[in-house]
Amino acid sequence: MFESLNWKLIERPLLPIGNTYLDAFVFLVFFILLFLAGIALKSKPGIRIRPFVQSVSFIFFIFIVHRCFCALRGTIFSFQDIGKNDLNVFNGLFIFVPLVAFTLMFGRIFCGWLCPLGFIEEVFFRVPFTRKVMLALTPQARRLRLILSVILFLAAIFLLFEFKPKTFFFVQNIAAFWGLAALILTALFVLNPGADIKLKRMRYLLLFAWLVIISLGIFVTDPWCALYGNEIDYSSLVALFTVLASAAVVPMAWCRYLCPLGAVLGMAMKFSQVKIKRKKDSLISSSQAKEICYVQALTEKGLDKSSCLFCKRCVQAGASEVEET
Amino acid sequence: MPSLIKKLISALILVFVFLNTNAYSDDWQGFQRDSSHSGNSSVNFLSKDLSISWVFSPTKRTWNYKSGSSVWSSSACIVRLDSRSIIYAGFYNNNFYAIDAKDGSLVWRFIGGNRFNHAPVFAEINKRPMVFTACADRVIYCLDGLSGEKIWSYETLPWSYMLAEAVPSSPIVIDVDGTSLLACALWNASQAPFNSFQKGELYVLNAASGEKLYSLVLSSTPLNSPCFGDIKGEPVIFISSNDGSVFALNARDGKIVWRLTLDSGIFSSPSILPGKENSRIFMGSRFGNLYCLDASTGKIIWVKKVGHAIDSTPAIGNIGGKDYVYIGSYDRNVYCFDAITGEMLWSYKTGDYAVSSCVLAKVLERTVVFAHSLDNKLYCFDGLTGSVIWSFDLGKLIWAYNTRGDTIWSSPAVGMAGDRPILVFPCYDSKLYAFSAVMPEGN
Repeated sequence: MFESLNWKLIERPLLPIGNTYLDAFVFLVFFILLFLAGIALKSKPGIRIRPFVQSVSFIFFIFIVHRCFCALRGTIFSFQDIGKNDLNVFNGLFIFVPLVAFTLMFGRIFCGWLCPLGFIEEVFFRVPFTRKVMLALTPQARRLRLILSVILFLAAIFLLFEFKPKTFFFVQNIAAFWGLAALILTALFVLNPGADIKLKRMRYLLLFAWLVIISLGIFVTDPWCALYGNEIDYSSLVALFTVLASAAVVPMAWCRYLCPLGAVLGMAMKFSQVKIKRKKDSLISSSQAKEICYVQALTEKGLDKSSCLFCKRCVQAGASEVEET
Repeated sequence: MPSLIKKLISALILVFVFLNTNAYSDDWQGFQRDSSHSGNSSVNFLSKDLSISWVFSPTKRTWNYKSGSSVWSSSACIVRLDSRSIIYAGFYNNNFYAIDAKDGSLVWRFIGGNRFNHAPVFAEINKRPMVFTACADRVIYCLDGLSGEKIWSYETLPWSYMLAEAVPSSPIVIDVDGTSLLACALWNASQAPFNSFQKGELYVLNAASGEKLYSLVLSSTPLNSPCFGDIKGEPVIFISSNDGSVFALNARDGKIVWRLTLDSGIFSSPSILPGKENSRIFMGSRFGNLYCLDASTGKIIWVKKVGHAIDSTPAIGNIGGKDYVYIGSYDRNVYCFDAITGEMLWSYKTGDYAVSSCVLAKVLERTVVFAHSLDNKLYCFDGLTGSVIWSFDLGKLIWAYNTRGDTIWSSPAVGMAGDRPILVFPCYDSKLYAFSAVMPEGN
C-alpha cells in the first residue's frame, strides 16, 4: 500500500567515509546539533534555540537523510561483528558511544532537544485542544481518554493482524507488541494517574526484555525504523502508530514508559556532569508543574532525574536550575 | 589499433568460443543462469501444474546448521553432458554433489573443508566439463563435471587459527581474448591481534589451470557475485560490495573503469542487460532502491524505491520485444519493472519476505517468473500480469528464527532433465526439490 513512498531527499552519502555508504555528513550534523544543545543548555537564553535545534533535527533526520538511530539493536549486533566486520562495528557504535558520552557531559539533551520522535510527541502536547484533553482532571475527560486509548488499542490490534506475516508472527511483530504495551500503560495511567512513577519504572523492565530479545538474535524493529530508515516494515509502522496514538492520550507516553534508549540514557544520567535540580524556594503548584513538564518529572516536591528530558522548560519557568558537578 | 578492428577481433573470438563449447542453450550454468545474471531460461514447461519429481536429501543431520550469511544449500546449476543431465549443488554439510537430474540419484560427491554456500558454475573448457565452486574454507575448487575429480584448487589464504570463516561468492567463467577466466570474490578476515584484516577480494584465475592472473582488494566487506558484459568491445566485470560500492573493472587487467557509491549496503549482485548502444546494469540496495545504471559510465539512468531492502539479484526478461526486470524485496513483494523506463508494471504481495532471486522460464510458451518467499512458498507468476499461476508450499522452516538480512537464501533454477523441463529448488529443509510439469492424461 505504501511501498513506493519515499520521503527522503538525500539517499546517497554526501561525504562517504572510505568510499562506503557511511556518510560523515550525517555524523557531523548530529554532533553539531548535540554541541549546540549542550552549550544552549548551560546558557540562560539557550532555551530559545531549542525549537530551532528540534526542527533542524526533525527535518534533517526524517526528510533529508536516512540514517537510523537503532542505537541499541545496532550496538548489540555490532559487538558480535568485532574483528569480523569493522564497518558494521563502526556503523553500530558511532551513534551510541557519543550519545552516552554527550549524556555524561551535558545530560539527556538528545531526548529533549534532538529526538525527532520526541519532537512529534511534543507537538501533540503543544496543540491547545489535545493538551486540554490530556490534562483535564474531570471524570468526563478521564472517561474520554480511557475510551480513546481502548479504541486506539483495538485499532492497533486490527492493524497488527491485517499486516501480519505468515511466519514468525511474534518475533516479526515484536515492535508492534511494544507499541501495544505503550497503549496498555497509557490506559493504566488514565485509570490511576497516581501510578505514574511506578509505570515509569516499567521502562527498565522493558529495557531488560528488549536487550534479552536482541541478544537472542531477534531483529527487533522499532517505531524509528519507519521514520528514519523509510522502511515500510509493517511491524514498525504499527509500532509508530501506537506510539503516536498513545502520545495523543498521555503526554510523551513512549518517552515516559517505554523508550529503551531513553531508559539507557536515564541510567547514564546518574553519572552526568550536568543535572537539573528543583529549586527549593520555588512555589509551583501541581497543575502548573503538569503544564510545564511534559513527562511529569517535575512535581511539587522535587524532580525525577531519570525521567527528565532536559527540555529546560522548568528552568525557564523558574522552578529548577541547571547544576554542574 | 583502430576500434573497428578491435571489435572485429572480439566478435571473432566470441564466435570461436561459442563454437568450441558444447553447452546447450537451455542449460542453467551458474548463479542466475549465466555470467550476465539474466536469470532467464528458454525452457518451456508443457503444463502449468508442476509437481515434485524427486527429492534429494543428502543427510538427516540438520542440527549442525549454522545461521548467518548462509543457506542450507547453494543455488544449483543444471547442465546436459552427453546423454546425461546433471545438477550441481553444494550443501551446508561440507559436501558438493552432482545429482542425476532425471531421478535425483547421486552421481558423485566432493567433500570440502567447510560449507558450500554459493552457487557453482559450469563450463566446458578444452572439451572437458568443469565445475567451479568457492567454499567457506577459503578455497576455490575446480572439479571434473563427470567424475568429481579435483582438477585444481586455489587457496586464497593459508590456514591459521585466527582466520574467520570465508564468505565466498558465486563464480563466473568468462572468455577474454580466447582464454577462459574464472572470476570469483572471496571475503577473508583475520582476527590476529596485531595483524588483523578484513578484505573482500576479487580473484581472476585461468579457468583451465587455476593460475592466478590478478586479484584486487575492493572492500573490507564481503563482495557479491560478479557479472560480466562486453561493453563497447571491452570485457568488463561488474561487482558490488556490502559497503555500498559498485565497480566496473576491465577484465583483462582489473583496472577500475568506474566506481560508484550507492545509498546503503548492497547484498544484491548486479545483472546486465546488453543493449545495442548502451548496456544497463541493475541491482538492489538495502535502502530498498532498484538501480538502473549505464554500464559504460556508471551513471544512474533511473532508480525506483520499494518499501524495504532488496537483497535479491534482479532477473531480466524480454516479453514481446520489451525488457522487464523482476525482483523480490523484504517488503514482501515481488515486482516487475520496465527495464527502460523504470515504470512498475505489477507487484504481488507474498506472506513474508520475498528473499530469493527471481527466475524466468516459460509455461505453455508464456513467460513466467519463479520466486521463493519466506512465507514458505515457491511461486510461479505470469511475467506480464503478475497473476499467480502455481504455488507450492515448501513447509515450515525447521529452525526457530532467522535474523533478518543475515541469511543468503537460495534461488530456483530451471533446466532440462533429458527432454523434460525441471525446476530445481534447494530448500531450507536441507532437501533439494525437483519439479516437473504434470502432463494431462493421454500426453
